[in-house]
Amino acid sequence: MEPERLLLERLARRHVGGRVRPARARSVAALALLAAACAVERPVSAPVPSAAVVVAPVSAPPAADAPALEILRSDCRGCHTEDLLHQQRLTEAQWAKVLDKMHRWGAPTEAEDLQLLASHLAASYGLDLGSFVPERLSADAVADLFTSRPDGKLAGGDVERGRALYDERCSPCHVEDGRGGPLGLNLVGRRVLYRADEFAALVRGGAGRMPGFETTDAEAADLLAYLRSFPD
Amino acid sequence: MLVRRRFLETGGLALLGGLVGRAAAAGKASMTPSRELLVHSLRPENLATPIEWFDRPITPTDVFFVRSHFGAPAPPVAPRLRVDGLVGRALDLGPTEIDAMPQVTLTAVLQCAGNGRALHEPRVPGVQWVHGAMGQATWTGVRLGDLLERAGISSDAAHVAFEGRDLAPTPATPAFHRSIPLERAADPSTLVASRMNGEPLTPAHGAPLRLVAPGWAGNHWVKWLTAIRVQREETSGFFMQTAYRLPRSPVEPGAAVPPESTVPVTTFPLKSIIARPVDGSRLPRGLQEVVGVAFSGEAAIARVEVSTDAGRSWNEATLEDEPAPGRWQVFRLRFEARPGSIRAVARAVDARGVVQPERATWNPSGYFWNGWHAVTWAVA
Repeated sequence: MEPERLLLERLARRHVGGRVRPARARSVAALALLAAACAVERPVSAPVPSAAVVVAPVSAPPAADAPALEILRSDCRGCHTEDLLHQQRLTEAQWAKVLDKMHRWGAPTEAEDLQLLASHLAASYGLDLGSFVPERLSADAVADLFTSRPDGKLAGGDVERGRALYDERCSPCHVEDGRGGPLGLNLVGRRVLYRADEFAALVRGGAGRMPGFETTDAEAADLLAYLRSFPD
Repeated sequence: MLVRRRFLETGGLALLGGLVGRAAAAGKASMTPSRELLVHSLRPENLATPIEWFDRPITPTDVFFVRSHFGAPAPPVAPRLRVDGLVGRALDLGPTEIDAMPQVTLTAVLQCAGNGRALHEPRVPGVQWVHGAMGQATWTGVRLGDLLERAGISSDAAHVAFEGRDLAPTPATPAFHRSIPLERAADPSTLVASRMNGEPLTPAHGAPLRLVAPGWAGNHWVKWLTAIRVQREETSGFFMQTAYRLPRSPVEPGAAVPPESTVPVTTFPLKSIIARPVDGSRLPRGLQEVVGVAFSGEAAIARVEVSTDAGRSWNEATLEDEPAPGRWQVFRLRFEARPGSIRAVARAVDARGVVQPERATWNPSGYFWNGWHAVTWAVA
């Protein structure tokens, strides 16, 4: 599965004049590739790998689902893990209403793609799907989700160097004040800023429409220092 | 989120798997349920308490449900609480100043307005809570009324608004801003709490400060509190004027309800839930015990009736702990059972004589499910 992911990430890493162009591959070849990647990804997208996970199809989804799956991957998962979808049992009209709300609330999906997504969701998480069985997570694991971690080798970053990096690489989407814009999410007061290892992995690996950025430990430390300096 | 997922899979989760397994094994060996939460969504964090925990007066903090709209924020480096708006003098308080004020401890149910949403028919969107978005804890903090008195409120004040540190994910997303009427704010049970079950609030449950409004649904219990604003009007915005509202009068299931025909949700209605036996379980013959909790945001519980023959006849259960609005009492009924299938149903009656309804009232957002809870188990 790794080669597909790397290809996907490379696809995503296309910069246009210092700005990041969202990776919305639309050529037939790219769609086939995405379908393959999504097929691999889907079963592991649940938060905890275990036999108890819901109802998600184990076999590869039909190729027709590829564009919808790609939108879910690139536009939805920044704010929602897929478990939130798995538990819904809604009609297409209800899905369309939910998506309209998310669109108004800043989801970057193009308006003309919403219908496609509503149809996909109604077919995947409609009224006739069986009951949802949530994953169980130990209380210790839950507490860990909310716990800050020591910075380790990413400690002691420089705010000014971080500012320069941020302005060049991040502000086109996350905006000068860090509170996000049409393409980037809010970064102010985010817990990941106090989980330095996760932060560095996120910056390097990308997420959703964000491409991965080659970032040294020193640069990640500087970015962290700057991002933590934003006022609430 | 490829990266985070990979992280979870390789780093955290191998380890977590072990913890979950051990907890489940321990749960089977004793009557203590597994120390686990049910994951409705990891991002934003929405985690439910397993039903087996509703057999006791206090829900332990580590298995107490978690609800968030935008995810829990990072802890503040230097926490402050502002009290401003229509006040004589605005306050800007640090933890030491707040701790120096008179502290109150009370016991109260915290329940999400959407608890039971998955049980409404027809289905509606939202976190599909079944029974686990509730719990009872002791809450310690200062009375909101004391803070308001210290700030000195103006005569034209009518509402008190709350802001938390959980910022919306994009500038286009409405902020989670809520307000309550001044009389509710001044009620002696309304607290700005810093402790839960005797310990400092956890980040998941609103550290360093959250609102506590016993009897009122969880959407009022604003977490990660940074600002309290005294104002003339109810707060505007989505989370006050569109969400967390109910039809003024009952509507046909599935009906669309225009906003002007809705009112804000406030107190949660009368409800009882059976914690044990767990639905679908198998127990040895002999003495059986039905145990659960009953509560209402509007009145104290008067009695709980339990049927062990699928609703044909009813027996009064024993009630434990103190009766009070917004507080739950444990109920218990023991009986001898012969082998076979047993279906138990619980219904509560409050001090005003209101009887819990057999079926909940459907509403477009799926709030306040409170139908009779039934469980079926096999006696070997």
